[in-house]
Amino acid sequence: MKFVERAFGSPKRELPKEETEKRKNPLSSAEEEILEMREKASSKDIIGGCSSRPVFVEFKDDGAGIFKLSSREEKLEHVGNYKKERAAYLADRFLGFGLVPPTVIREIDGEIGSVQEFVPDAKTAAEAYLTPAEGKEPTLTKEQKQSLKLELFKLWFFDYLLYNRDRHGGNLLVKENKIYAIDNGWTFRKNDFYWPFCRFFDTPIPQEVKDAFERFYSWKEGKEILRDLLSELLDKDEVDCFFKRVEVVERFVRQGTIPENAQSALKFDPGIIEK
Amino acid sequence: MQYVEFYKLKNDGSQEVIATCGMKDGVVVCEGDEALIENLAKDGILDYSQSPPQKIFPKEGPRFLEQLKYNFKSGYLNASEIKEK
Repeated sequence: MKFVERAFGSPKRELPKEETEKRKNPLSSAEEEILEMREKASSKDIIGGCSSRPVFVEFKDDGAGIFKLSSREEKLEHVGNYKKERAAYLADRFLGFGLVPPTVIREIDGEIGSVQEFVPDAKTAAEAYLTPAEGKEPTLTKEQKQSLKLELFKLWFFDYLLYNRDRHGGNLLVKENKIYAIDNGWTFRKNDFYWPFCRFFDTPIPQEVKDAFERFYSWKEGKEILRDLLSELLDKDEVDCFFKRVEVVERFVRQGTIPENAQSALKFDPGIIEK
Repeated sequence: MQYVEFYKLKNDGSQEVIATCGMKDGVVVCEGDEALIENLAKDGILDYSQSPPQKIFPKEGPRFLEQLKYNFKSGYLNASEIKEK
């Protein structure tokens, strides 16, 4: 990276092709390649929902995905949400949480959009008994509850870093006590509000979450690569706010908890972020 | 009567109606998938017409029905527009 770019930033900085390829590779997966390269075998419009109206796509030689088309982002506030689907996957991949199904951006039938690997046999949290209803017996064993609690903590921590304003029972999947974060188009917010599915303020951060975050935080080159990859998808302000949050959260990770009054620490006016 | 259908995405890409919520005597009554209905009653949904959004519950009536499609839009479980029958 040139010194001038490092010093002053460049919102639309384009890397030379060779450098881009090199920087994209370290964590790209076989699943991403399948989503990117396989030919479409069939597709079906998914009915219902208010926006994006995704398409279910089956690929030749196995595999399926949820395709969100750029052209269906009709409201101004939705424009670019498909890119955030990919950006959230990349952030998750670099953090090592394994929450977001593989997500790529590609063209299908002349339309650009995000394709996220379909998770078969999954339920949305809205269809699952994560907590027993009033007067009902718990349906999960102690081990299942512990495993699920760790997954939910990871999700909360992830949404906190990405300042997601839209996490609820309709956009997270549960399958065999594993959580999948889907519908990530409202992530990488700057300073409006943050809406998690559940809250773990003042709760000790589990070791697994600490380890994953610290691994990412201490991986200097990884952070630079992620910044470059995110910069291809998001506004410079959105990327800057994410990395500013990483710095704030690192201090909390060292302390061992994220305090309840820390929510305001995640809001940044992009104009005053230190460069 | 006004009502909303919930469409569950199946592994082959087809969708099936697993629940409906409709107005009955001024309140929303839901039928179908037991866990979904219990969670709607217990956890509510988000009202995106407010900023920041607020939790609303079936007792809110038409507003609850109207907001379902904004909450269930991922593809895996989608809510329909309000229908009439």
